[in-house]
Amino acid sequence: MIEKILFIENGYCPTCKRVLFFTEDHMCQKCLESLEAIRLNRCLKCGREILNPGIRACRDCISMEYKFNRGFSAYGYDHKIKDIIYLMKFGNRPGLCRFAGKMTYRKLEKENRLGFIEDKDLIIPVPLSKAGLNERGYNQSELLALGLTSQWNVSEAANIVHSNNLIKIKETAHQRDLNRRERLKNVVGAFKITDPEKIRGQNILLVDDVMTTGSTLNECSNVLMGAGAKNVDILVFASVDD
Amino acid sequence: MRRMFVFLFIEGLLMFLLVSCEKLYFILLWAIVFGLQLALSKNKEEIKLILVAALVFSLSISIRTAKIDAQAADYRDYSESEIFCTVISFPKINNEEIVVDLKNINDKTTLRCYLDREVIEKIPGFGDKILVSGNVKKPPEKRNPGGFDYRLYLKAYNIDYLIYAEAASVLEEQSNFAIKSISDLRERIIRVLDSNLEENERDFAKGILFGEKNLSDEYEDMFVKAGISHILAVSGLHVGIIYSFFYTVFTCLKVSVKVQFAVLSIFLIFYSCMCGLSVSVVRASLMVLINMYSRITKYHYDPINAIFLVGCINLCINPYKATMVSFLLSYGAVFSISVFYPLIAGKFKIKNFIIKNVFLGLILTITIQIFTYPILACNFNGISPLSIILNILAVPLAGVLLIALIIGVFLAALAPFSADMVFGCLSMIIDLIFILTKYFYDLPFSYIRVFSLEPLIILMYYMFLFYVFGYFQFENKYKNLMPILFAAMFMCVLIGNHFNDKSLKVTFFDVGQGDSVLIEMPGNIDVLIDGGGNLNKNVGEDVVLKALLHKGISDLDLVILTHTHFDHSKGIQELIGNHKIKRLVLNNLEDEKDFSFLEEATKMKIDLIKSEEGDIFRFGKQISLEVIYPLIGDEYVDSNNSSLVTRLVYDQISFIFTGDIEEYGERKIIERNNEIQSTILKVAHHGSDSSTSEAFLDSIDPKMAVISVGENNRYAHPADKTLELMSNKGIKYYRTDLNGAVMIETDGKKIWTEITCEE
Repeated sequence: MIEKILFIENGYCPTCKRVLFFTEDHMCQKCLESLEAIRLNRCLKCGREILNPGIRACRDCISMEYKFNRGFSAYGYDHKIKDIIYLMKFGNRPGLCRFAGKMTYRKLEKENRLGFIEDKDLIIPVPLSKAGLNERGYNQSELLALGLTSQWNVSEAANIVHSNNLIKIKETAHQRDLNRRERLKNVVGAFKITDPEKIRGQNILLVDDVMTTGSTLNECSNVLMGAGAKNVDILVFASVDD
Repeated sequence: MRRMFVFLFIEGLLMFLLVSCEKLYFILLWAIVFGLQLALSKNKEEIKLILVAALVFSLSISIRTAKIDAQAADYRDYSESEIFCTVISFPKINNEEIVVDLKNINDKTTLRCYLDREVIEKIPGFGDKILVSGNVKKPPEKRNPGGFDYRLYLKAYNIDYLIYAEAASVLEEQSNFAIKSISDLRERIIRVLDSNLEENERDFAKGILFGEKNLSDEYEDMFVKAGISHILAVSGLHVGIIYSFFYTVFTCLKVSVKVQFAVLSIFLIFYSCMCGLSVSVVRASLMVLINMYSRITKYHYDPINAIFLVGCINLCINPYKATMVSFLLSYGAVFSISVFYPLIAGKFKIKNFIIKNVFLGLILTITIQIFTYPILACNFNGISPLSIILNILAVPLAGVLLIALIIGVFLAALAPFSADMVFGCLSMIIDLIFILTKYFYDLPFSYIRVFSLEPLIILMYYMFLFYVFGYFQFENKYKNLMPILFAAMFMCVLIGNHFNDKSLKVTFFDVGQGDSVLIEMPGNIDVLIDGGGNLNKNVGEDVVLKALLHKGISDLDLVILTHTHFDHSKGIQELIGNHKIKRLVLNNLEDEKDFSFLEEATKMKIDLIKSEEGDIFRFGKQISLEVIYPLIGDEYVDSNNSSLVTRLVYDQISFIFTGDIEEYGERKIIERNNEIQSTILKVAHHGSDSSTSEAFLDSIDPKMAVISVGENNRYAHPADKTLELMSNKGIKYYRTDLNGAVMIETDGKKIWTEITCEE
């Protein structure tokens, strides 16, 4: 009760710092619209934004064999999105994570790409380690996935998100402190499937908040494909552009 | 739901206005706000909660307001010789005088008591029981346009009466341990300050520690006009400084948040009590505690909700607090910091630590200054633009000083030998603040007089502010809503002014014993006849200038000084140099040497006109002001009988302003046999029996009369004879000593009268 009336999570717009008076959204209308206005030139494979308009696939996708099939990235990693991601990770903002999920859904809807998520059998968020989860109190990718599915028909969405099957068993150093090669190495063997039966033959959507080099998502896809998944696609809220 | 307290606060405020002003349109506004709140709710549960909360809160506010009103309106016969009271405030001690609030034990009425030092042996402390006797009065209401309403102010403190004590004695001392210890500690701290600091420094230190305002008038004026008097009222600033001090110490000591919360809440409760639970200290303390609570529970602190929750609590305690300037400034400042500051500050990225903080401080004070401008303009008619810079210098100093004072007082109590050194440093900081303030006070444009704003203009100002800062800028179908709204409101103001401009308004100010009449004519032409004057008070500045600024009158086209007696002229002398005057009209009988301010008037480029019978000032087609006395060729007899007598004609309505003429002058006017019949008479010489002869009254034949006279004046004006004469003739008369300022409005055919207070 008290957190609904007195302590509210979305008192300010995280990007422009204006007070949000009456909206239930986590961003002000202006900032939302300014984000919607941006049209991305995306990599055909991973969905990452490409700055050079003549190129259709990003360097990472050309140079390395990602284990996932296709990808969708809702936003580029500009300073507005940066603020949001920071709060999602370190600002104790579970509501904002769900809201980011909704934003992602709206983006898919707007670009007529709802088919990308609707044919999936399972949605699996990239997990946190136990210690990380304890510290943060929530898994931002899981809430992002739940926010995404909350826009669907409820009965459908109820158990499509499986967050306990893929787990993180190894504490890894923060990806952002490492360089490209170290990042790839860092995550090897960090993930495990607890119930491979549920994975076998399924069409899976892997959800994460942000993609930098894609090494975490690649490793997770690797584990999932190893467990017999039919297909793994990835969806991220934001990706660092190429 | 998410901003429930915002709605509750506004609803409570409207309910309070409805009950206290008895204007029915507030219920309409209330219904609109309530409807909006319901419309924004999401589900049934929310609606249920909102219904209950809004109705219960609004109802309790209206009941509380009605109760305070009834208590204040209640008349009690206080002729009984002695009143047995409990002291309900800390004593405020000025040099000669002690001020305490009392509660009558028998009938629960409350009194603010002014005690002479000599009257009482022991200074009464909080909670003591005392016996007082003296002159009990109702606090004075507002008496002039733009004037201060002391009764309203005291309502915010729940005070019903004033008593000027002639005798008093403490019968019984406070026995409650907690109250006694707070009160003792406070006394001890004050004693430490008294014995270690010099006079002005000591008063300043008390102001900073307890928000007690008893600086000497000169220093008080300096701080107010330099725009940093807020550091003398214990405010959010102080609590913020204490909080950050505690926070830093606790973080260094690695104390857990829960312990911090406990220690800080005890300290703040203690401190708020010592400061007499002033509006700002209660506001700031509660907000800090809410913030700390959110840190313990990992909830998200939201300043807007916190402000309005605390505002609601404040309204519950006493809705009249909302009329206090300190309430408006305190809440206004913190609201502007929450709403506008982060969004401006977020736009700038500065690396250098010092430059960044100075810059942010500058933005902070500018934000507050812009947001509180209407409050300052309407209440003080003055702003201090340079305070933006002074604040950045003085506020950190005040912060250091506050912490140093707290430490210093403890040190002096624990280790008296260190007191000298500690207080030596303290007095240096205080002197530095004094020097800074004095420097800024002396700079040109440090204090600018500004006009009051109309409510609609204020509303537009704030809407515009929000709009400029990117609020309510819709991109969808409401895109043009705000610009259209602005245009509509602007039209309203223009149309309102246009209709207002058809009428002539004559205001007889209550300047105490003396005369001052303001004539507002269509087309923004304003004429002042006399400026009042009191040897001990500056009525020219405090009443006349204040009213001019309140009414938004930027210059006086014509000022008529009837004669040189100080109760007519001193006020005008105060106006010269402080307000723009185009022409000054004097009678041509009195010697030039009697006008003490002619030199300054010439310096200010005021046209001087020496006038006598036959001079006519025309204003537009329909309005003329004609001088009918002194007659051409008259000889000087005395000052009163040199008075300029003027007759103002607007279509079918006329006024006659008679100055101080006596029977001698009246006879001459009658003999001259000019047209002097008038609708409204300003009774000559404050209603003295040496004026207003029956013959003169008959030849004027007024419907209405106004006597400009001071309460309990030593000349016993107005004379019973004059009053009787007018009653017998069936002339309705008003007295400024009883009715306050008297306003008469006319469109040239009909007249409307309005008085400021009724007693």
